[in-house]
Amino acid sequence: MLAVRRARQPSGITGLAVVNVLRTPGRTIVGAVSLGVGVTALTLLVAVTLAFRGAVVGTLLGNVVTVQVRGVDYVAVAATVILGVLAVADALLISITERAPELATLRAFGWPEAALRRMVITEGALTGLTGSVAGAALGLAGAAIFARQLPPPLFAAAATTAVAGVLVTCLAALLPAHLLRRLPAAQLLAQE
Amino acid sequence: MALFPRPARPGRPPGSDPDPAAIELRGVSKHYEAVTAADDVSLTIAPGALIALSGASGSGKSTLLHLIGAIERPDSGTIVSGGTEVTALRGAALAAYRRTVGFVFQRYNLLPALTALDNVIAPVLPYRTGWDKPGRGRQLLEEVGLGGRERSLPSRMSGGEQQRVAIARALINTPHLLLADEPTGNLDSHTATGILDLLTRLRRENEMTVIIVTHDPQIASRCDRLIRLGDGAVIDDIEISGGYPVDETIRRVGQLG
Repeated sequence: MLAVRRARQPSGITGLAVVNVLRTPGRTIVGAVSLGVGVTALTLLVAVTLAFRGAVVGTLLGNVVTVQVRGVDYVAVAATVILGVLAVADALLISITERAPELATLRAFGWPEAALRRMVITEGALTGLTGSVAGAALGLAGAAIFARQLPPPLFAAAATTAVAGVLVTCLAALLPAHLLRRLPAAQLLAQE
Repeated sequence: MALFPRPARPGRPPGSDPDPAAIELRGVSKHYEAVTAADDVSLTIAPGALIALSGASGSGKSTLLHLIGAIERPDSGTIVSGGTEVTALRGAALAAYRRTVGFVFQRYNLLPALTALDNVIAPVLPYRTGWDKPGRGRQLLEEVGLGGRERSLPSRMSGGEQQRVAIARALINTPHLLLADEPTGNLDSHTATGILDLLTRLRRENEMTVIIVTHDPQIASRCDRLIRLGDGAVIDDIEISGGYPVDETIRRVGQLG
């Protein structure tokens, strides 16, 4: 288990969310990488579709290769992105389960449900942001290396997929955030 | 005298203290499936009182504390605190009431990734308070004898120190009511005495009502009043401050503790 070695000072809900994401770096990285793989593929696909009109010719190991985007590719990439998003949501669920007594304590001290939800969604958004930005950057780099050019629409495509990745992750984080209401606070805090 | 303004009770204008009665429970019952955790409990607790809540394991002590602190809702009955019907509160008003209550738990329930100072101010992180949160946190740590330990993580602190951090955290909102669920249960007798001395001093200085769940007859004997529970019902309610013999208090707590 990866332990927290250095204290970080939170200044609000977002700060505490950052602390929570960093205290289990392994889990955060797994979630981010899972999402990143999907976002990388999506960025490549969108790049080929928008910047190269659905087909791009490049070289791979000295061979000329043509990549053509088909509908089934989008289905496969969508499935990969969904799996990545589910990985982030799963990581959040595990995190909430592990931290249930802490969340119950914060509620007992007057944290509103909305503040607890916001913290959990922010944790998901931070993981989603990491995976999406890294994935979009990798997709952009891959497209540039393959096509040996970087037309401006490629940047827009990468930015769009990164934003989409974060938004979808936030949506997925709503479920674990919603489940906070079901925390058996009294049982978690009781010591009888 | 408290240096920081108390959060106003929901439904009551600021500055409306003192209250006619700190807490009133009227026919409060709570069941967990077949287990009766609170059985038609009716109590009135005067403002500023120091109450010992005792009873055998499973007698409903923690449940009663959670009901008063609005962590749990009763199946029936009403709880009124400072003129506010706690059992009728929902949403933001409920959260506002909880901010007038301080909790101290047996296992401290500190956030392990946060320093002592950050743990103390964690309850007020979502709010704009109008006062300096770290400054208030440092002052409270100083008050509980942990000045200079602001940057320490809970894992680097002894049980007694962690409990002191938990007490400082419970005071961050300058609560009207402090609920302590076996606060000395995991501590040696010397540290436990120190924690109780601290709680009684802070209660006096902050004009709080304090309810302590305890199995310890010595701690109970230092309170104003002893309430013993059995199967969720009040089976003993003794005013100790009225000259009730300490030996008898110890004997009674010892019966069930």
